[in-house]
Amino acid sequence: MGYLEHGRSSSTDIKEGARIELPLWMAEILAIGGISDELPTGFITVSTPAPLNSKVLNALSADPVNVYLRGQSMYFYKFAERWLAMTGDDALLDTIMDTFKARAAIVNDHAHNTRSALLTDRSEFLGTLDQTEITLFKAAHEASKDLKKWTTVNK
Amino acid sequence: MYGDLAAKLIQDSKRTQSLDVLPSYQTDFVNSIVREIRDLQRDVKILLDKQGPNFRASQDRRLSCAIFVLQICMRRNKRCLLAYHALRAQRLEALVWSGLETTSIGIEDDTDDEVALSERPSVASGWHPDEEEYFRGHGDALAELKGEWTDVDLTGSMEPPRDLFIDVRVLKDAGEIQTEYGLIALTKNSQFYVRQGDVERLIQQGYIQKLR
Repeated sequence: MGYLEHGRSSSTDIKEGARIELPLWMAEILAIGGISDELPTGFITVSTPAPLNSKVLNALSADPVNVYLRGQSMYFYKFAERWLAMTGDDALLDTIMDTFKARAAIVNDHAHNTRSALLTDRSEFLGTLDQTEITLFKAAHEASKDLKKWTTVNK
Repeated sequence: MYGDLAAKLIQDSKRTQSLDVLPSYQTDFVNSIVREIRDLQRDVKILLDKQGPNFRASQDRRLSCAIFVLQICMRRNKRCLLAYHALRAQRLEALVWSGLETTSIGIEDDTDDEVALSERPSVASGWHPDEEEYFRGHGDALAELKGEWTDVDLTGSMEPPRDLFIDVRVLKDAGEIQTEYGLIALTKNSQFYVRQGDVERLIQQGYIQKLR
């Protein structure tokens, strides 16, 4: 692959076929962008990142609600979005969509019932949400609160 | 790795989005990111100088990869800087529209300057001087816009008033104000029954509080 990182004083060569970790934005550009018209292939190839490996996907298709999504990645859905935009994997897309739908239903339930019967596993589940789901939870919670306020205070 | 500092700046931006108050300007971060961009630029120059003027990208795959990586790191840093500043600029604009004044006093009588100023909260703490200038410039532009329509107050309250007169309580000492009905001395914790139009400005600035 070539000659990549520059250390403070010297530059190190990275051999072809070496495996390194790169941030997603960099990996995306390097994998997709070609050098010029004569050499249209990219500089690197990427392999499946950890949060989307087969183990995680199996867990998600089995029981989406019980997976510790936050532990995989704080921004799981956004990350999956970028990855899917890059690779276009339909099976993965279906799995993620089903996960989202299943979890969103539970998130909504928690948001509307502050004193729900599921009090014991409530905080456990809420601790597994990723950033997108947290935003969803806050929005649903605010919405139900506002509605209650509006129906009681309206003169 | 390149881009780490920029990531920290973006984290600060994310935190800002959930805060009401604009946190201090991260001068150190911004400066080090700019320095990083300059270093990357210098590295690219060194690499290119080794080649002749007729260097074509496809000649040396390794070299073009190196230059490319440096280039995208520079672009990434720039993008992060722009995002940070755009967010802060948006916030400043919102502050201008909310009628906040950090430098001037909005009361006609100037005799109690000292008292009013010292009790004023500093919302503009931690701003970069350029941001203060932007705030002022935007404020001036807004004043010009508002001046075209004297009947309508574009930055006024969006809620229609319920009564002509309202009860207010004074939160901070603010000197005295002249109204149609005479002079009103605004001392802390005193209550008045005044016309809404006169005191709306003061409510917006936080000197008095409307009572239900």
